Amino acid sequence: MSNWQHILSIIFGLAVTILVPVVVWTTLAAGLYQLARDRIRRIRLAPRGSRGLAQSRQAS
Amino acid sequence: MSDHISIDAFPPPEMAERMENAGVKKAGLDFWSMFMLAVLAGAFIALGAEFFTLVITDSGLGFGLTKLIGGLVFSLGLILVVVAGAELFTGNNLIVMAWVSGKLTLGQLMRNWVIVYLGNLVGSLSMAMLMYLSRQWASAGYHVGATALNIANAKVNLSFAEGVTRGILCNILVCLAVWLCASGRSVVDKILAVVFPITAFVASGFEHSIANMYFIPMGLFLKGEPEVVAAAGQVAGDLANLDLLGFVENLVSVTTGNIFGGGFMVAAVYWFIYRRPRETGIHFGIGQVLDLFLAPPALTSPAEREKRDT
Repeated sequence: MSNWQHILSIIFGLAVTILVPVVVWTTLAAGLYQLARDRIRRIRLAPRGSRGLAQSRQAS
Repeated sequence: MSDHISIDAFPPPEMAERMENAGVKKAGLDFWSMFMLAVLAGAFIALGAEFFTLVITDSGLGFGLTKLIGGLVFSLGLILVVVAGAELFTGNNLIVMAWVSGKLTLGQLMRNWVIVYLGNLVGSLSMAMLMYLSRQWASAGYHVGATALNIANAKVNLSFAEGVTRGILCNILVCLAVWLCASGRSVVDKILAVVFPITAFVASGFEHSIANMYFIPMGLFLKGEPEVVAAAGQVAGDLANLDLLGFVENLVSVTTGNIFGGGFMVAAVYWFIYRRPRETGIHFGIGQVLDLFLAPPALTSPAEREKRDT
């Protein structure tokens, strides 16, 4: 194996074992964070929404 | 209204649009529909995997032809998924197109992936349990079970880098199969589109995370059957890595590769070619990438992005 082939194989090896997992796991972590944030926001908004509905029913 | 009925395949730009819209629809499914469709997909892929195990056992053919026949019959799994309709995690990596277009948030994409992955796991594990209880693996003098055991053992002995690279290559082909399906108008079109990419990935020995959810648990069940272990020519030490930890390690590396291969090397690449905003040139800098990760969907649509930037 020539020097260039050796260097290229090291670069590709590092990309597969480090870069690819970092890209994928960062995406997954950001996605799970967004998913959790959206869920919490929805849970927080739900009681307000139902309270507003009850008030409008009382008013009518 | 046009009265022209076309039988030509959809051209790639239209396929990209159809794929993007399909991604939005998939992500919008309610929990139970999504989960049950995912359970079905896990079971369908497991059926293909079982068919593969049976056919390659004592085929009497050479290495290449045995792999070719095995790959052909494994296609059953994805044919069932695309024709009968089911939610497969590896195919759903193509929803990345709808995300990078700004039609979905990363949170919505992740909701789909988490539910579908768990559903696929339930479907595959259930099918592995059914197959084990059926004692179908005892046929051909326990050689079907021996094949299943050897397949599972080879998978848990892969290194992390091998798992990731084989996962990448596998899901490039699986997502290309699903991508080609978007060009088809009939059931026959879809079946033909699926067969060759799937045969190629199976014959090449690439790694599919959902198929492994059947293959490895089947090996775990069969590890406790002395007749199968003997027929496989294994001794106790050879199967040391075939345990729950080996299963999880395999899933981590292969799933990572599958997501990168399908989501980044097929979906994102085709989005860039056919669906990126044209009017402002390439227009895809670090700010736009950060938008995808941090901002709500309204800010990531091309129109909103342009309005904000001006």
